[in-house]
Amino acid sequence: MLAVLCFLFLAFSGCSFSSSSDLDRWMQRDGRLKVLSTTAMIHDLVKEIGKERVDALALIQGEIDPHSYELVKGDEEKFAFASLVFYNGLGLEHGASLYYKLKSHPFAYALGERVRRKHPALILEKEGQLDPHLWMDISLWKEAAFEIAELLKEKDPAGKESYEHNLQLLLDCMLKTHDEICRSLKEIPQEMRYLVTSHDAFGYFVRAYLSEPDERETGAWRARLAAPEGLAPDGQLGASHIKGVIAFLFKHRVRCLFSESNVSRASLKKIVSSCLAIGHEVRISKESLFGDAMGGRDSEADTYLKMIRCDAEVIKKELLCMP
Amino acid sequence: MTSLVDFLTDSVLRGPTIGSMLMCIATALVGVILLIRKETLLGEALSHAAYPGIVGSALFASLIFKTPGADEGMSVILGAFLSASLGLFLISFLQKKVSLHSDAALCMILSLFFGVGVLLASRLQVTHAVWYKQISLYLYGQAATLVDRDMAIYAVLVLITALCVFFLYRFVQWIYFDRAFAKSVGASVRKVEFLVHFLLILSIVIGMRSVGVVLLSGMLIAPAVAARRWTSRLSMLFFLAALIGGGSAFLGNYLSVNLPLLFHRESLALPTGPMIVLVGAAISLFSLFFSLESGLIFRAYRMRAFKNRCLLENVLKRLWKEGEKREFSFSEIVHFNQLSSLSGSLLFFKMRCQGWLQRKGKGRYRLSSDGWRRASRTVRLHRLWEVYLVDYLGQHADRVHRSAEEIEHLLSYELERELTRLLKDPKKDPHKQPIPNDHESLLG
Amino acid sequence: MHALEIEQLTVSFDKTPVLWDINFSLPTGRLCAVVGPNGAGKSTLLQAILGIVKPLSGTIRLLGEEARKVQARVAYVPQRSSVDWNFPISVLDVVLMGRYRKLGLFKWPKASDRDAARSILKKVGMLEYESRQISQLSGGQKQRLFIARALLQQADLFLLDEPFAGVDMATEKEILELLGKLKQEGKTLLVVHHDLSTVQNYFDWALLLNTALVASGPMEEVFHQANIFRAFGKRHALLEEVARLSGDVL
Repeated sequence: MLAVLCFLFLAFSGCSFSSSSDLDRWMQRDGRLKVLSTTAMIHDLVKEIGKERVDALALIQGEIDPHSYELVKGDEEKFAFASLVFYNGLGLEHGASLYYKLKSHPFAYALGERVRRKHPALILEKEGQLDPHLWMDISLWKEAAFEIAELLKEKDPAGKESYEHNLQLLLDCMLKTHDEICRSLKEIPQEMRYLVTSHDAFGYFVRAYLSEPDERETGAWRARLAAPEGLAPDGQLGASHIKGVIAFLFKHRVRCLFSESNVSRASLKKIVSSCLAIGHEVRISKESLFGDAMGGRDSEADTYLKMIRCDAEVIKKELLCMP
Repeated sequence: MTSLVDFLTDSVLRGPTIGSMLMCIATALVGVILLIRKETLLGEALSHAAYPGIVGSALFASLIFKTPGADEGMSVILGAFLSASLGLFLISFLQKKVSLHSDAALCMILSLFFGVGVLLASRLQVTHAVWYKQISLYLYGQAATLVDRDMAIYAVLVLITALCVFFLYRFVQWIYFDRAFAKSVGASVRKVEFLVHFLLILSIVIGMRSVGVVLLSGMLIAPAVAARRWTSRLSMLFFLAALIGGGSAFLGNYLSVNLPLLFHRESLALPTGPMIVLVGAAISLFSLFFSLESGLIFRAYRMRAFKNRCLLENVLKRLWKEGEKREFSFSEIVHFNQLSSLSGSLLFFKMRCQGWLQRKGKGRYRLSSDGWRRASRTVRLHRLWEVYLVDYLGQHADRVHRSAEEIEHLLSYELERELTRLLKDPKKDPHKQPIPNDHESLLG
Repeated sequence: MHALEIEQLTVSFDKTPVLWDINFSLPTGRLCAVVGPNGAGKSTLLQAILGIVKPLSGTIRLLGEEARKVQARVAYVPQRSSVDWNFPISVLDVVLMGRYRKLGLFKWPKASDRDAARSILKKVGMLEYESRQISQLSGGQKQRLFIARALLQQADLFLLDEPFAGVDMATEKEILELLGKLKQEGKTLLVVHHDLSTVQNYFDWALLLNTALVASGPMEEVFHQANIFRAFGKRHALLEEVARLSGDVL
């Protein structure tokens, strides 16, 4: 028993995550603005806009699920030390300890809420719940970039020009990528553009890149996606959800299910096995999509734009080579 | 709406339905054994004690497999088994060697192990986020994603459990009824207890995928508690508990799918695991209230009915004492017996309907011959009992009236005969009042 | 041959001695009463003889052999209060417990076993209750049930723990008759008894116990004022103190 405990202790201490040297460096006062972001997608934007004037840190790193993240040891100090905190809002960070911390922090700003105030019609809602995954649509996420720049300018008026300049560069990049992806995914025939993922994270993506313009007007684009788990991948699903997805698969002759990097594949495996039992062949995509999390360091999806581009490529590849 | 048969045949539904039914049958059988041992808290403690094993096994598996595949399920089962066994060992150690009270030991191990598990899990969340997501399935269960292969594994495990219960039936009964005697005849008490503990941990390991470790103890206890309300025979207990367990699982799956269709509201699509436990708890509550002998509702009804009968008999007695030919008006009756006008009217109405009271003219009533006999019987029982208390138990004549006021409503015919025989048919009670004759009080 | 030979038997629970250096022997065919105050170790003596509790030291010989070898020839009637009478078991199933030694772990009771159980129930006058749940029995019936179970074991030595406690007169008479019959058949009976007023009438051998042995032997010799006072009077205070000290280090 003692041996098992020792083993566990070593195993855990061995895999430390953001190396503590990075954190120590961030916690030094060096004249730069200390900005804490919850998700890596926000963190990426902050880095691009703030550049050398801002020292940015991401709270939720790697494959951790932002929906259910709870504060761990060391997070309190990060919050205390940060001059600005950016978070997604719209119900994304609903782990109780994180939620209350964000609500009570004097300089925490919900980017999603601010975008919603300006463009309420663009934010998706499902049965009274807001869909927080707005970063999946680049044209919408650039609004968040605007907000970040505004807030940085407010906090650090001296860097106004720098921020505006960086913002402009970033927006150009984002728009370029957005158009590229739009064009690329248009090459998929309309009748094959149906997306099934682990959880309901790709609403904005489907609306922006996989649907026709008239569908966007009427809301008919919703018919193009299905997922067994809901807006948050908490694993609480019933058999009716599985059946709903299978009906969707049949109706639109979908053959490919897309797994996500940080969500359990149990529901997808169940769908595959049930379909197999009735003679309908379905497969899970070889590569996972990035929905709630970006790729790790040195992967091909370690920045926000690369992440969306990666997703678009994987989707296109899988949807096009359906037998 | 999906039909009942579909739940057992449809490729999506049969895995969750049959899998959770099998698992609930196993836990129900083991739960009956826990119930007769009066150790139901043990199930709660051990299911929580399995949690750190689950987390630890995820960590172990992450070293071998890169991403969670089909095989991590086996390592989770093993990890849970080892962890729960360790918890059990520590509980016995605390109870025997440290002489800690049983409840204290159970709660201590429950919170200690679960706390360690949560600690490990919070670390796992940061270091191996994907594995963390995978094992959080075992906390609250995910019955909906059970596939046919899981069903086959569970079927084997449940079969082992059922066979063990079947073969051990007599010994479980004997050893838990009278341990000292069993030991004196050389029964291998230790071996049987060991086997029962093994079955308990096995059922926890089977069940945690469907209902999760947190809610598992519900499916251990609820079917057994419900069954106990309906039967006192051990074989029936096992059978009924298994039936209720399996039925809860089936209904839980059924409602989980059909409830939103029934009420046309998506938001009612509840996850299967908690639904099963809710159904089990509902059946338990129903049994508690409505079971025939010990159900609270029926007991309350019987108590009420008895109270009413006492009141009626007391009123009849009072009227009897006034004399056979005496006539009363309604208000006199009410006033005499110090009744409120409402209860007085109800009672009056009852007495008229059942024929104890006869109308003798406008507003005048008197006891009918049946009523007379009924009343004199009550008086007879009252006075017989007083004689018994004074002559047989040596109580003082002043003190016996109170007791007789209560007992007179309870004595049955057999007891009356016994008393008459024992006391040699007395004619006068301790207060020198005549005891009504036997044939006077015969009910027509 | 002696039915029971006990030498230097010491039993303790939790460092307190319950039986201290007991030495006595009981010839066969006797009806022996075990008498003493509460907590004197009477029940523990029976349990030690049966092997239910492990003694700290001492030897026990039953019917001329080592205790372990002849366990099949010893029957036990525990205190009525030692079991939960709401347990779901029927009268017949309780009696069948007496057949355990013949059955072992995997055999099912056969018809012959059941018939034997039924005839025993008839002997104690409980046949009509055979399929009743034990919760429905009266105190006297419960006692008779336990005795029936012991009778089924067909033993030579019977150990009974307070069989007359809380039973009505009729049942007491019946049990006494049964015990008398067993004695006539040559069986030996060791009975923990609580009622001093009836000890001399019912039994012919006595064992006075107060953690240590006060006296043992034929009733007329042993059961007199001085011995009774030693058993029921002040406890052996010095002995207790010494025992506690030794309990700490042993």
